[in-house]
Amino acid sequence: MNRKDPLGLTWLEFNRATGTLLVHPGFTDTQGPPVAFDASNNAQRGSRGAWASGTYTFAYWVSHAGDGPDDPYGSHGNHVFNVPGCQGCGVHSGRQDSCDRANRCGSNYATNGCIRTTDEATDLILQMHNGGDPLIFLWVR
Amino acid sequence: MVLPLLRNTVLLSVLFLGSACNAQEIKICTQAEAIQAETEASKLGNWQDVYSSFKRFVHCDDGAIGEGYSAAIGRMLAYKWVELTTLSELATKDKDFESFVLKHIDDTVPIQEIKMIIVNAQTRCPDDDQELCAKIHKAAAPE
Repeated sequence: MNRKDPLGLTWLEFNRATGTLLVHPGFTDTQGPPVAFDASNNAQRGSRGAWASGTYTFAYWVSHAGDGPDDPYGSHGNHVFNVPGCQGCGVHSGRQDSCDRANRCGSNYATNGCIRTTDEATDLILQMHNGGDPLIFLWVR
Repeated sequence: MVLPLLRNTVLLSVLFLGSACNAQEIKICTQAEAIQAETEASKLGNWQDVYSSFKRFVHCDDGAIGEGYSAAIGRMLAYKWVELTTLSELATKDKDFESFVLKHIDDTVPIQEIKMIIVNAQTRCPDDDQELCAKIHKAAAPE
């Protein structure tokens, strides 16, 4: 499947099979190819579960100012998407040096439904978003 | 003939009114509330603040917001066990709050905090809070 970005804006691609999040820059000619980061959607028992395959538009960003790599959302906040039936479902990092009850660590650490990636990924997304290349959607497959 | 009809009408009315009441109880979490709830949830530092946030935003308890509440509750039970009495008072007064706290002792709490919670519940439980400690222990070590 090939997806074009006619508006030249940042979009994300989460591949659950490979455990990667691709950050697609809006202007590939000048900003280079997509960049891949580790990511997972290990939604814990009792949560809304993993995201269904599909496309989700960006809703808002919650900063979590002052948080660090090992805090629940990482150093660069939570990018929340419009996910039917879910409040606050987004892409964030966090728990970089911790393991959960099932002994999953770092970007594999459990979430309450969100996609967890690395601080490097959320840093790049935020740089793009604030640098005139706003995040517009996330494709989950 | 009239009696069954009347009975059905009454039943339908009760069902309708019941549905209407339930509809009124469903509170929508607005975007502004979701942002506020997520911003504060993981930073709550005492049980009174956790309870206040619960009363305001329990209808937003989902996704990253829920993960924030779990972070705060796990941290409280692991590192501020001496404040258990306050939790016990709030939980006795409001059983929905007790359920909320127990639900958030979940897989998103770091394993090292889960281990501390288990030890706290087993070895540092006040005599008056044995029932609550047993529930906390069960939530932390479900298998």
